Amino acid sequence: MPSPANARTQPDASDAQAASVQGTAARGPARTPASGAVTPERHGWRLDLFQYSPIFKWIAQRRSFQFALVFPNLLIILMFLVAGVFGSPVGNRNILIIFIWILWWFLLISVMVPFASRIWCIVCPFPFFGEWLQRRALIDVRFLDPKREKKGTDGVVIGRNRYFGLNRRWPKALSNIWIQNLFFLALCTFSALFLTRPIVSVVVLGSLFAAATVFHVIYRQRAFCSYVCPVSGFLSLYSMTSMVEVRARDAEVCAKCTDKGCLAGSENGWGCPWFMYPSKMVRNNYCGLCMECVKACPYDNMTVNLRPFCSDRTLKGYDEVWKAFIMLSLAVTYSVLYLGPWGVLKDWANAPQSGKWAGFFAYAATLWISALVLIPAVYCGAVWLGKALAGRRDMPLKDGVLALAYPIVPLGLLAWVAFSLPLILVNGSYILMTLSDPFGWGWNLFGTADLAWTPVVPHWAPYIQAVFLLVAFYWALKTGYDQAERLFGGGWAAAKGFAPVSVLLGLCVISLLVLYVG
Amino acid sequence: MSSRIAERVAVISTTLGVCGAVFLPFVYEARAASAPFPIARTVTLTAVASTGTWTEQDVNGWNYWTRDFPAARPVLPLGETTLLRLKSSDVTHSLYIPDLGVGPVTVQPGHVVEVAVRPMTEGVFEYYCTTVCGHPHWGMRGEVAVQPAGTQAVPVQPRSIVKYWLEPPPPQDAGPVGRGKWLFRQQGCFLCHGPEGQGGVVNRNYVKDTIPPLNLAERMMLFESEDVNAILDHMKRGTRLEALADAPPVPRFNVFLAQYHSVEDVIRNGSVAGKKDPKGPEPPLKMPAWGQQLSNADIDAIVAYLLTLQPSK
Repeated sequence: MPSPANARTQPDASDAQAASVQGTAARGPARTPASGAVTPERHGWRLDLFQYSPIFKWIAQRRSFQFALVFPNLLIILMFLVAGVFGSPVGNRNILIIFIWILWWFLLISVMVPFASRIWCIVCPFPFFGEWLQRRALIDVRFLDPKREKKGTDGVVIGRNRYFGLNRRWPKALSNIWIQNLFFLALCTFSALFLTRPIVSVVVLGSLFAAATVFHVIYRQRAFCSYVCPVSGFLSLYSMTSMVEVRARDAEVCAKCTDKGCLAGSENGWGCPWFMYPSKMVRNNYCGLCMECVKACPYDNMTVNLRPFCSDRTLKGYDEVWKAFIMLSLAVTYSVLYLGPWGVLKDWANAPQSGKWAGFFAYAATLWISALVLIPAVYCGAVWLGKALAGRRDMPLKDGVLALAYPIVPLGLLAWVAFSLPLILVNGSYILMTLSDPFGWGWNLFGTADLAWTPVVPHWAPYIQAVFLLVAFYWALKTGYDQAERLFGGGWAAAKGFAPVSVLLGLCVISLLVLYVG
Repeated sequence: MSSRIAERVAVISTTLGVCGAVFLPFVYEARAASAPFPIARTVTLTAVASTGTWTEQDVNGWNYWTRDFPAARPVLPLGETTLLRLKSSDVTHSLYIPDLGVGPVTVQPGHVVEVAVRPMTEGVFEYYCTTVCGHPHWGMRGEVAVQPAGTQAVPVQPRSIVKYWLEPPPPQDAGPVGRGKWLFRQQGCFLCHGPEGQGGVVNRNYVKDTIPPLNLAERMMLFESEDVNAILDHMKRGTRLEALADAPPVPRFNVFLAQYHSVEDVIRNGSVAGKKDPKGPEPPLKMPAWGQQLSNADIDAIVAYLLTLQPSK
């Protein structure tokens, strides 16, 4: 048994280690930090929300907690899919487009992720049917009491829970978020298509339902969510900034615990479906907030903490770093595409309507090369230069990149917020219209179908965007300098080491400011 | 035991909920669409901008992108009330049936407009869309038949949809006449002015009854084909016509130039179709302003093409 001491300061590499000792679930990626990488630290204060609000704790410990949240969301999404197929083909008259790509996206990136981490993963309906098939239960736990039951009955036993389906282990070579990175980039390349055509959105969302179900039947637990789902990929990255975390309350209790219910499951909860070892978890990235560990812990030692913004600061692999590059590239690309004045670019992105396929391939190639090669290369160059300026040429480039790529996380998140803001301000009135007439069939359920299109303070949008960008720049500089201090030592060495990267960050912010306000 | 009950409740709720989410909207729609008063029949017409048609077919998020919707030819019973339920599948349209006193009725997407009509004259009447709704707008017309109730409707072959707006442009060396010819079709001018600009399209309550022919050459005082060719040669070379005032290529050049600018102005800014009967309905066809859609060079190209259609004898 690995020592759970210092559980909060150990990276979640220990998850895989612990899992192998338990011999139970396939615990996913062994995320060992590169040699000399920055050791994760606990930043700032914590407020134990379960102590602060016992009602919240009581709710989270109910077995029906997740079902009660997913079920209404499932019905809503199904109705949206029906609207996409049978409702109006016009985006602004179809609830699918307005509620998913305008409202949901804005709430997800601006509210849910920064303030509630991966709360979307609790309510996400896509794995609903797959998980149902896998567990053959919507609420219950299939608990195997080793003292009373034999393992060789029905289903597959993992830890102390019984599962159904093939329950294959996810390939180790794919135990990272590269698939999610490429999947998300591919989806976003065709954004103009599914943002304007409800039927294409139906195909995308329906495929996610189908893929999630198939993967749950074939692979163990939430392999789809952990390694395939394109939304999960960026949620994992940006949940590092979130002001909420699920953590063990007292490391000593976990150290003495021999039950490991959070990992192996118990009669009250499933073993962590996300391949994590919750009692040693130190980052939000791969925690789906399902609260199974809260239910399964025999010592009532798992809790939900409130914490400062940007508390997790350790990127553990190039897959995570590249996710940050991709997200920033997309925020900039979309700002140019959808908020910029260049109609020809919109035509290129929307080739199925405009017929400008040569332009589309130019746009797609530019996006992919920028996101995967150009921006990372420039950024790595800046990190290399910073190392040289700080007199640390001997340090492996990977260590520098993993540490100094972190500023792109808050910068990317807030750049996305800045991009999404005018969309909701300008198109927000469609939310009320489609709420009353979700299918565009002429209904008026709540008396708001006839509202005129009313942009909300559109003239203020650029200035609000500028505020978000400046806040983003502040957080990028603050967290980047902290990382540089830990990497190069304090003072002048850190300043010199961080200088090239900070110049790049500044150029990025200035470019977006010019686009939005200039 | 209680957990088993909770599990069963969850399974039943899920089953019922999924069925409800899929089928309830259709049940609600069926109830909402029932007629508010006794009528002979209801005709639902849905406007589709992508094909420029009013159709009686159901248009939804799936078939909108995959199907061409033929223009509806509804049959209304003579002397009885029919409820027209008008929908738009995409952008704002207007339905106008001048002979039946219907409209123009503006129809926006997501809004069902209901119009009761009681035709008292037997015959076949033209309907139009009078709000410019895209390239296919100019062909967005069709017919309504009115006949005594109970008589068998004469089967009519639906009009085929000519996607003139998608026709490829001519090669660069086609010159202004070639480009003008393409623009005359691609912009849908031929739908009102006739395929060769010969006019003759009926325009209800228009002072001239039908759209007049585009005999521009005569109007511009180019009575000889040599004169037309001389002007076209200069246009092909890109010469500014005003610059020719010192050495006029054709007789009465100043008159020609004034007429030329007058035609350009009509294309650029449009013109009103005067009413024959001031108290009668608005003529459905009027010359729209093309100034925002066509460049000066494009307008010149169309004029050049029109000059070739009506050479002087």
